[in-house]
Amino acid sequence: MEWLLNRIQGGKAVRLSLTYGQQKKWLGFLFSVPALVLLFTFLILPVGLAFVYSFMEYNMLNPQGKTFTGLSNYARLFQDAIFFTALKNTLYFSVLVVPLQCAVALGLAILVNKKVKTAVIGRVFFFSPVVTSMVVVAILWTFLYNVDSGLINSALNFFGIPSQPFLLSEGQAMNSIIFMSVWQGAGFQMMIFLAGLKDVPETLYEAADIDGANAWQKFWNVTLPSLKNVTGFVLMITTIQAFRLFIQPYVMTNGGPSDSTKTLVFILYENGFQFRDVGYSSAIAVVFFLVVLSVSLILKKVLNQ
Amino acid sequence: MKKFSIGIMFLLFMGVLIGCSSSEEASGEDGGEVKLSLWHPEGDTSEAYKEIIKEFNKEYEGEIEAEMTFIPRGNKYAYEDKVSAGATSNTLPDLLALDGPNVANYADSGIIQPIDGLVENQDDFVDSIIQQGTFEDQLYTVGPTESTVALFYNADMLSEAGIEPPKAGEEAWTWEEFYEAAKQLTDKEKDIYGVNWTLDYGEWIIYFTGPAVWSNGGSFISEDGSAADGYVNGPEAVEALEYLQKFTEEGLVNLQPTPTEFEDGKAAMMLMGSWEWSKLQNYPDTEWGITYYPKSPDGEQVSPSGDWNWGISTSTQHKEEAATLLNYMMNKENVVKISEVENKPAARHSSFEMMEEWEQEPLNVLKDQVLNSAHPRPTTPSYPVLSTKYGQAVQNIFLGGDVQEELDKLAEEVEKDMQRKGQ
Amino acid sequence: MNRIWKKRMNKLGVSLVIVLLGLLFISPLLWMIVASLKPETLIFKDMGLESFLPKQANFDNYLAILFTDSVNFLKYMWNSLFSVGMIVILGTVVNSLCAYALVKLKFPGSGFILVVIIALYVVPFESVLIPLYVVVNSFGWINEFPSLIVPFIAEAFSIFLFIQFFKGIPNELEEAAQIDGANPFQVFWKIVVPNSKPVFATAAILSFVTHWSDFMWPLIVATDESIRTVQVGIQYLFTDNNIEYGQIMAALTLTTIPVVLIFIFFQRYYVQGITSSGVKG
Repeated sequence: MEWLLNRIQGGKAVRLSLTYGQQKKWLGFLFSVPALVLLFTFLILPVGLAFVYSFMEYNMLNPQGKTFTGLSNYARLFQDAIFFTALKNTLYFSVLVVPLQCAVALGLAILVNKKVKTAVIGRVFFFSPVVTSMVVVAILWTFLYNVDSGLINSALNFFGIPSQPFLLSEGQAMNSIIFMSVWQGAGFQMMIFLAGLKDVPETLYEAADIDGANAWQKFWNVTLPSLKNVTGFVLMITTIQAFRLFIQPYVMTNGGPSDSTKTLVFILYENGFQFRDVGYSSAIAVVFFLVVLSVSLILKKVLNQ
Repeated sequence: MKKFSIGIMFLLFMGVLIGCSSSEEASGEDGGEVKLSLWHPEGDTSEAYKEIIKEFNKEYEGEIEAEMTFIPRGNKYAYEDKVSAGATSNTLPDLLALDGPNVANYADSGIIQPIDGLVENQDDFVDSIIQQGTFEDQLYTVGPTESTVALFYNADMLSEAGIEPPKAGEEAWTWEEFYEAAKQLTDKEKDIYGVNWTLDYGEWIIYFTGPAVWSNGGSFISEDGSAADGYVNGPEAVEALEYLQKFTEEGLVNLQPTPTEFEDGKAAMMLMGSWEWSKLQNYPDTEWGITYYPKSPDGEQVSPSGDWNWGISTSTQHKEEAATLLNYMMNKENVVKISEVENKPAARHSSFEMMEEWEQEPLNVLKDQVLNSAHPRPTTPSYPVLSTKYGQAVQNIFLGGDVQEELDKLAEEVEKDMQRKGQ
Repeated sequence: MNRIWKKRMNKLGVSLVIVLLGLLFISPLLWMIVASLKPETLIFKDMGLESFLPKQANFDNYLAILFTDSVNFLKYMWNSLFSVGMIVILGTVVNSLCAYALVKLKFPGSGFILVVIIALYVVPFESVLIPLYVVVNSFGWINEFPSLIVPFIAEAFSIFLFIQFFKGIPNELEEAAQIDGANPFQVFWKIVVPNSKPVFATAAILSFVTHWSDFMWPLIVATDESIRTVQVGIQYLFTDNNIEYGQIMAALTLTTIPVVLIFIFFQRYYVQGITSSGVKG
């Protein structure tokens, strides 16, 4: 590493004459350059292109024929009933899934952070739905949710509750997807919480033990305050992920019944790829971006307080 | 520390790669030989095509060299997405395979070109293939194989119930007869359904329910392709879907079947594509049969059609050579070769005649449908919207939605898309 | 004595909860493995809990996918391992350095960049797919390995994740090193990295998992057999007609193994950070 530093700063003499503060500025810039250049080329640039496309009539199969049409895609968007349905569904999903998934993930993380031999097995098991192919997940959950022979309905019947239609019902399909998503996704957040738990000083728990605190008091007075930063982060990324819901309804319900599981990214994909309407799809993307960005910034403000 | 330096070096190396690789340009010709590229979805036919291309290259050595790329298709629209990306970057191949219903959309977008007069022995193709490949009175594509949907049945279960399925097209079950049979065969105690039909979300729904609409005298769009309102939501279409809805409402069809419900003896009949026959051969313990797609009491017996086709892209520099290759792939012998791989109906009369087992029961039913009752899906640039939204509407209908209401909504969506495309 | 007993019972209880809950989570994976060992005709015949019994178990499905002439499964696997491995290695380096620079080296403009990075995480990949294709195509990378790797090295999510954890590293540690004459890079390498093993492990695991399952992008940029990834390579099993579920399950099982191994490999870095030994808090 030294050689690099020397090169950049023109030899040892210079290096010696730079203060730590000056080095910080230089290297700070240098360290972030690779990431920033890559982000610019492969994310900011495409986002910019999408923004431009949103003002165009652009058939994906005929890129030469694209023409500027001003705000017409946006005008169409705000008259499109499906867009508002998708917006509502996405919000509904996010509001329910974020607290649920974060709570489950935290619970699992605390469980597998315990000093027991099964902790490692637990980590692998709880994380496994994240790595299991959506094909398998969809097949199995369709079985579980089956009206006639599903395991969940069998369990309900056992307790005297009549069978529920789940994915086949306009009223229950989204809730069924929420339940499944929590199960599938919690392992992801669990890993972040787990990394956070490893930073909680052991001494704090020892002190709490001496004070005679019970498990709940330790959780409330030691664990949670120490995880403040991490929890804020997890809430934020879970919210953003929740807004991007697409693959579950795409595979399991195709947006139905009666559009009840259509989300913003679902209609973005449908218009862009199935209907090949790049312009309209890009307009949805731009609005999506603005909505989620404002939600995240509000969330960040709230969390900072 | 050392590892880290290696990382940095690698990054620099990548930077060099970025700089260099863009200068490489593919050249179309090499020593006077014309190079042709082809795209086809990967699948069972890949091997047959590889062989055909190999023979072609041998025969035209020094003149034309063809190379076919097989693109994974997945269960939805992966291949179409790849074509879209190819169009975006102007990197489409000379010859392009496409699914039947896409012909109009691709032709209208200008990525495939008319091939009128270029196809050898055109009259030998079955009518439905030519209809499928035609858009605004011009021929754009031809394909080696056809497909159809028929009623497969568990012969053991039917004979036990004393039901005799029809053996000739004129005797095909009417809606009422089919409904009665399904009702009789449904056994709720034993969890056996009268009929199985897949509720796959892709292209399948419009493909397998289309004949009910057509047989009843209805259609999806007007003949000139300019209107949907009054057609897809017209009385004939509404009646057809209300008829199919009876099956799901009364529990004659399982809304959440396992993928092998019919094969496992949990359903007595199945409305399925012609390819089902090869799958049934894995279940030799049961006797299987095939009969005609049921017809409306007021109409003819109709079956759906359509399969993968070949079109010549507009970006090709070598239309003539592309046509030579197209004709080579579509000659009588090669059509047989491709058809036999997936046990598909051939799209050429002369090839079909060479395939003897299609003369006998039960495959003769499929052949009869292909030759005499095949109906292509609508050709309109708005097809992607029509097919997707129709699928979603039918999904709602099977779950108990109001037929007229669902189809009205659909008609409105399709009309809007047609107006936009018409601009 | 009593206390030791209580502690033991406590541990046993926790273990029991972990295993029972764990089974709920791992059941689809188990089902997949069982189905991959069954003959095609039995996979969907058994319903409910019975479907988890490996009846007539054999390896035919595995042999079928590993030894077909047209499909080079192992080659696809290697392509995936190589490209995803590169993303993870380079990405961890690039993203952690960037995060460290933004949090600890605060150069002019770093605050603004931070907001931009959060904003970038919001972008759904589906919306930039086509524009990204246009960009990558202009570099001439279609059907070349860089198309699978370079666009995904820098990742807003990873940078964001590293930032959160680097924030918690006490400045005292750095200042101590600084007095010893270390430059900012040495501080990063000798203080920050060793104290952040869990977050490096998390970033690596999550990045590997995300890109391992990528399908749409590799399909569109990598049609050439020589760089085809395994998720794309197994799609031939899903063609509309005659889907062989047994082979699909076998292929999915094989593609899941590397992820699980990577996970097990990295999870041992979930050790107590040195920072928590008292400096903080």
